[in-house]
Amino acid sequence: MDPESLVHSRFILIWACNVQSTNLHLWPYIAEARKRGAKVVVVDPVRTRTAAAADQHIALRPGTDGALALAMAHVIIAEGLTDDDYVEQFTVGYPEFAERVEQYTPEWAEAETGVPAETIRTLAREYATAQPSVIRIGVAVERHAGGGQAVRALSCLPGLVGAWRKPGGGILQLPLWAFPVNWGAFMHPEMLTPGTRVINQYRLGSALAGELDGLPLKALFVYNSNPVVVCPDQDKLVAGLQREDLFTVVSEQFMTDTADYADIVLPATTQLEQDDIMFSWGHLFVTYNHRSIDPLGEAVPNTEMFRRLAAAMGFDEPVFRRTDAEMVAEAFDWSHPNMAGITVESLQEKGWQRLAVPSPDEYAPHAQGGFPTGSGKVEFVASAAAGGNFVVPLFRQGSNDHQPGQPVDPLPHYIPPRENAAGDPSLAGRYPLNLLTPKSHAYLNSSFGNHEFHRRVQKEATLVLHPDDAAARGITEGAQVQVFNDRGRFTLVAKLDATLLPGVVVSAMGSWRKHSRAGATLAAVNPTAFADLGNAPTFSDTLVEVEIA
Amino acid sequence: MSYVITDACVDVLDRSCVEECPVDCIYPGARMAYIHPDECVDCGKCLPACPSDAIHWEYKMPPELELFVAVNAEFVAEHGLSGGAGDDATDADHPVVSQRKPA
Repeated sequence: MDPESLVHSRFILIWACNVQSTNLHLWPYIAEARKRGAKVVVVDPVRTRTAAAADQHIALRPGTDGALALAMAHVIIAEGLTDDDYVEQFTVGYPEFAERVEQYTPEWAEAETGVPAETIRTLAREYATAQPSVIRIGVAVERHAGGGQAVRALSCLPGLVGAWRKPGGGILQLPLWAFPVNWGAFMHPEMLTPGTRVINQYRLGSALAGELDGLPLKALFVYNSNPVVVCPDQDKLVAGLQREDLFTVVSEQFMTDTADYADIVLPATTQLEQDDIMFSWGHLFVTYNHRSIDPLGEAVPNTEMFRRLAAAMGFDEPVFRRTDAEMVAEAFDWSHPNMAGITVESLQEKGWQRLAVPSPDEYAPHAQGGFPTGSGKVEFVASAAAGGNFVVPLFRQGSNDHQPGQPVDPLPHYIPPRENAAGDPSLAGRYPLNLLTPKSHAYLNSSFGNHEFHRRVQKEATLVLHPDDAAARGITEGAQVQVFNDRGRFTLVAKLDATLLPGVVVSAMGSWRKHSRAGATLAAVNPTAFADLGNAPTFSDTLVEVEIA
Repeated sequence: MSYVITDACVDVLDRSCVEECPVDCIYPGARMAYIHPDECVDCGKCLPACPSDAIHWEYKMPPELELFVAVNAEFVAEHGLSGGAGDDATDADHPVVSQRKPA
């Protein structure tokens, strides 16, 4: 759906997304919808600035999003609030789904999420009846053991209530499907030698420590990433980067925490110094990026870096000789109807062009199905799971390779957090606090964490605690504290906030290790375990203890 | 932390910044507008929108305008302003402003 269509939404459910900090350009559309009478509800364990600005904030226990979504489906079905015509025409597996969610009562969900059953009922009724309704989900929903199923459960809701019928209705994470991206030209999967070992970056610490199967890693090439800050298992990762026998090359604009350990740092261009063509995660415009200046010093774009590397290594396949202009020309399927009137030349002249789709006032792409599923409908029973080898369809990284592919229950269901009192009482006894590490207000993951302006806005890293949790540990505002579990520990300053759920502690991610108080950031305690689908990380599924440092 | 409107706005009150602000945190008074320091998200869109160059970042205030950090914060607190100004203006100003003679 089109983010700009949100002005037509009557009910806006922002789920685990701090829009005012991480998606600010969407907020004016939400504000406009509100002026026109829409209600804005935020579901988030934390009272973010977005939650504070909404009409209602529903705080749930970390990692229980799926329970709340399934209970909403239960209420919608039990109270006859479904759009029967839409369900009949444009969905698959409704009877099975209805039977599945019978067990997920609001009372059951209250015990799981901490949200009162009556609040859940009211939420479900308002969401179902105020049409068009929209759910804006953030990636935080995915960051725990049952993250994939939580997203599946949420994705069923608009189909149940027929929210897709009108502009401003549906579910929004990335409006990626509208762009006819030529993924094959981006990824060239045929270039990968069969049998090549692929290691998920969230296992980099284990890989460098030699804990994974296969030959030891002898060389590491890092570009467009700062794993020391964004990957878990920081202690092990840093120890690995310090190995004398590891040859490390980092292509970067700045001396990041990762570049500090490089044998060679290659200077990379910024977007100001390179031409590029972009689709978007947040709007429906194709953009041509003209460089403003020529590259400074010896900096080169990734494309040129790999061309030179391939030439030096003796690779002479034509793909390694493609120019930037050739890659731009291959980036999209220009013959697709959504690209009508859009060419490389017109983009170079205008800078940006909206996809040739109806205006935000008219665009309802799934009013009559047309979903990228096997059936083209909303699949309450997922056909992708039918073969017992479930692989998430094309996703953010532009490839659906290297997923676990294990059998998956084709119906949405609830998977509780891995690190919790019910699942692991002994662990919860030692580490009773849920650590959440949301995106920070002033950084983009770890980007800008070195920049004076952004560091001033973000201020020094803090651990936010409920006053009761703080008092039980003798912790006062501004005290230096240590956060730890079996994986590691880090040190920072305590901040008390009575709006926080007791038992939950929060530290925004992104600040750099070299600016930390004791040589570690929150990545030191984050888990390497994956969520249930797509090998997603589980950074919101972390138990810790806190003490005065 | 926030952006801060200073005395170059007094008796100009152009309101371009109000139009530009994505989170609706700028509250017009009778003679100048004020930014709510807790609602401002530090995006900086208001700064180039101001025809009077009246807006400064809290951390880069010209020393002689430093008092306006408190003027903005005190005005919104005094009048209980929050949640967006909408089309409303407050028919009052901070004493530092209201005591000034009209230009």
